[in-house]
Amino acid sequence: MAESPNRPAHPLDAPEAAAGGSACGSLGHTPAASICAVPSRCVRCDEPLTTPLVCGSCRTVFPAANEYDHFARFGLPRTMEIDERDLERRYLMLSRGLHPDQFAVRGTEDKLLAEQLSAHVNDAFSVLKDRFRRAEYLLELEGGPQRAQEKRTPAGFLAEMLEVNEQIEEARGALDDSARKQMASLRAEITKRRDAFLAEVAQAFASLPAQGDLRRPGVLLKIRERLNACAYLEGLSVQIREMLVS
Amino acid sequence: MAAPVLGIDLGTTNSLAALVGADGKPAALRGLDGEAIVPSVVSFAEGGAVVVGRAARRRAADDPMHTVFSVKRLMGKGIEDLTEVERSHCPYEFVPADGSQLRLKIRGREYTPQEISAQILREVVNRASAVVGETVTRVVITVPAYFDESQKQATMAAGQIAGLQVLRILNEPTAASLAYGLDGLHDGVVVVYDLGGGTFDVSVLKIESGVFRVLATNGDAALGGDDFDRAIAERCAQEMRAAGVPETALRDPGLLQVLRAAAERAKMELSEKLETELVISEDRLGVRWRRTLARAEFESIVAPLIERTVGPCRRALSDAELEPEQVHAVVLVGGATYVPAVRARVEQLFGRKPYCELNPMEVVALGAAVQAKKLEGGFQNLLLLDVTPLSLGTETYGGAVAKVIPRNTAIPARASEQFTTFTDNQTAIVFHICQGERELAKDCRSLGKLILRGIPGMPAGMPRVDVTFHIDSDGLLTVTAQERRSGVKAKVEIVPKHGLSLDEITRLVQEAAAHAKEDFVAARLATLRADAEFVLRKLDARVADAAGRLDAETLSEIQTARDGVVDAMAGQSPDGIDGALHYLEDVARPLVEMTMNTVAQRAVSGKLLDEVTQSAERTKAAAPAHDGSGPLSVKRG
Ligand SMILES: [Zn+2]
Repeated sequence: MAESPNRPAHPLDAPEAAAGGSACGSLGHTPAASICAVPSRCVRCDEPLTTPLVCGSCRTVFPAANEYDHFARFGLPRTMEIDERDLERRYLMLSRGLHPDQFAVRGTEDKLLAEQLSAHVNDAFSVLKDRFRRAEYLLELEGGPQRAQEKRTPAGFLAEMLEVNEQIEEARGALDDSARKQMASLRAEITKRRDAFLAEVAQAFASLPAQGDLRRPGVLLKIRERLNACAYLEGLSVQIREMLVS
Repeated sequence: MAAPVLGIDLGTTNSLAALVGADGKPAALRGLDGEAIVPSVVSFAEGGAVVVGRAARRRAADDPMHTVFSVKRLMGKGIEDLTEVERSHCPYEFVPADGSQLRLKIRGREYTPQEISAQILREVVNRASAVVGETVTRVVITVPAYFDESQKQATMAAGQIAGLQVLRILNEPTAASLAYGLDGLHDGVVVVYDLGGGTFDVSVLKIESGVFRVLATNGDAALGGDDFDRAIAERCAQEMRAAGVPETALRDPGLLQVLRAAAERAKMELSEKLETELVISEDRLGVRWRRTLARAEFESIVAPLIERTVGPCRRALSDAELEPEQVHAVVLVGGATYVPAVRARVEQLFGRKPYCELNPMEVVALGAAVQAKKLEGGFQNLLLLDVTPLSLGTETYGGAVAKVIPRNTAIPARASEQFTTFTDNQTAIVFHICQGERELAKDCRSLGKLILRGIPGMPAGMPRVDVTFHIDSDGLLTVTAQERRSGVKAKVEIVPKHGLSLDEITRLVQEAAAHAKEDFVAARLATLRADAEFVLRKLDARVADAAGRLDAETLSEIQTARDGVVDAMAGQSPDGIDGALHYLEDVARPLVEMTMNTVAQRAVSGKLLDEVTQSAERTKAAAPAHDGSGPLSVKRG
């Protein structure tokens, strides 16, 4: 499986180092506080592993994506604090290792496996790169209440939103240039508000009491309420966006 | 060693193939006649010969009922999907009228668009095989990014019917980006604006050290340069009607083809000139009509069409969460981007001059060739990460759509959603799979139904059914459903309502293979010889008509080209005749124009002549004069 196919002379066919294929370790260290159980070395070539799905060195694929959560797939601890640039680098490394195109000259079985694993990686990336979805996912992993069960938002939030809704409806009625400008700045406001909630959420996760601690359910609920508010704000943001695009 | 994998751009108006050469660069494959482009036209001659490409296009005016243009617009569609305009411009008969994949009835036989596309693919592949010196069997075929599941599946089926192994269905703008960024000198955010013959795509990509990542894509799968031609033809038809041309003539399929061809040429000429002339002359119907068309007037006719590309561009940028200032380059693809008004609108929209260094006609095929090489094991450090253009979901109780995979999700993709029963002891659930952005299932594209049976009787809401969507790297969908408590499973590879079932494809593949045993070369040779005879007769009449008014140089050029055709007719190579005819067509163009003008002037009725003259003067006054001797552009559409 480790064989490299033929390579014609071309700049993009230079040895893989430039694009980050060879060195697992070059993608930054995995924090010591990692709580994911990821094997640390490749069973085939004994190089350190960045992710449990594929070896960056010998490109051996480990067909166990289902056993890992999204964080573990990327070799990351369960945390809100993800460096986007690092996440993207990990995504590209995983894609280089797992995208079905990379298996084109191998057997059908490998290709099918690559289709599956690659889909898992894409799914994980879409969740992890978005702070809101990342928080929702983390809350699920931590056993917090889901949106379907707990619909509360922080005190005063909905009352405040009444006014925002009114503004949007008014602009929709007469969408002239000044209304467009107003909506664009309202959308920026909304994003800011959402970011503030997400910062609170990140903080709450960082100081989340351990399992069995009596304060834990309260913190999880606080996170839930803020994420509900974020979902609401996201809905408004999309509404405005659709209005401005049309 | 196996024959190389061929990259094919299967276009609405033109198709072509490309390969990566020994130098690592993709190049369009030129046939033995020197031509890269095969017009996507299929004509069914009497006696069963199928003519494809330039020869078929030549037959269009004389045999409109059996000559199929723009079949790509019909792929994966039911008759109810066609617009009024699309229907009125197709002279052939459609069957059936119900919701399944439509078929064309030609010379008493029914053809699916997949079969007709397969004919084009076969022609492209045969020409390529002749050049490569090996039989090509494996291909990468491009499709508009904004094609839906039915349309992409139909393209896959066309490849199979042509006896090809389709290694990948590749999105056209993505392919174009590969050709653009291959040299590694164009890293950054790129917008590909691809206005082809019949489809419009816009994709936003990030190119970074060999990784081509699509961030968002949008478009209109029924908008292209064809529509520009139709708009001009439509305008001309209205004016001809007002000038007294009878309705029967205006509905004549032959005249419609003549009109379409004249409109197409006017469009192309107006990319370089400020004014052109449309001459419609059909002796058979007693129709002789002409008008000048200034670029400004052309632009006002097509402005609404160009404007339709703006919304998708804005949406794609917005989905990618980017502002126009963050875009590093806007790359133009597709023949219709030659139109200056299109370029101007793109420049205005993105606030920068678009990148026009690539040949818009070839760049998609070049990118397909790069991906083809990749799938042979080359370009190890190049990687393409594409997205699915349209949201996928299932209909829920009440007719709403629960989105399972949102648009612009990276592929391969998988996602699950949980569902449950609505009534007590319900033992089966039907999942209606839909594609599109609308809220209600009835407004989305229906992709088919998946039925999960054998759920053990439980109170309503108790069963836990996981529905999992998987989109593979071709962008094609598989849906599975499983009830968790009982483990009951169901799986479907979606056969779209307008698609072909596996059985149908198998049958068509067998039929096609049987046909291939017949002597296609002989049939083609016979048809082309007949064509050539017809062209020569017409030519001789015109030369006689233009007696004395044609300069000696042109006349001798025409004579040489004519001899070439006669020689080729005596030979055994269909491509030889085709090439010779093509050359003759080019050389004889001044003659055709001259005779048409004379005929028109001589025969136009008094009233019509007045109108024509007036209109010509008006447009001349509005536009700067030009010498009219500039080269005609012939290689696009
Ligand atoms: Zn290894």
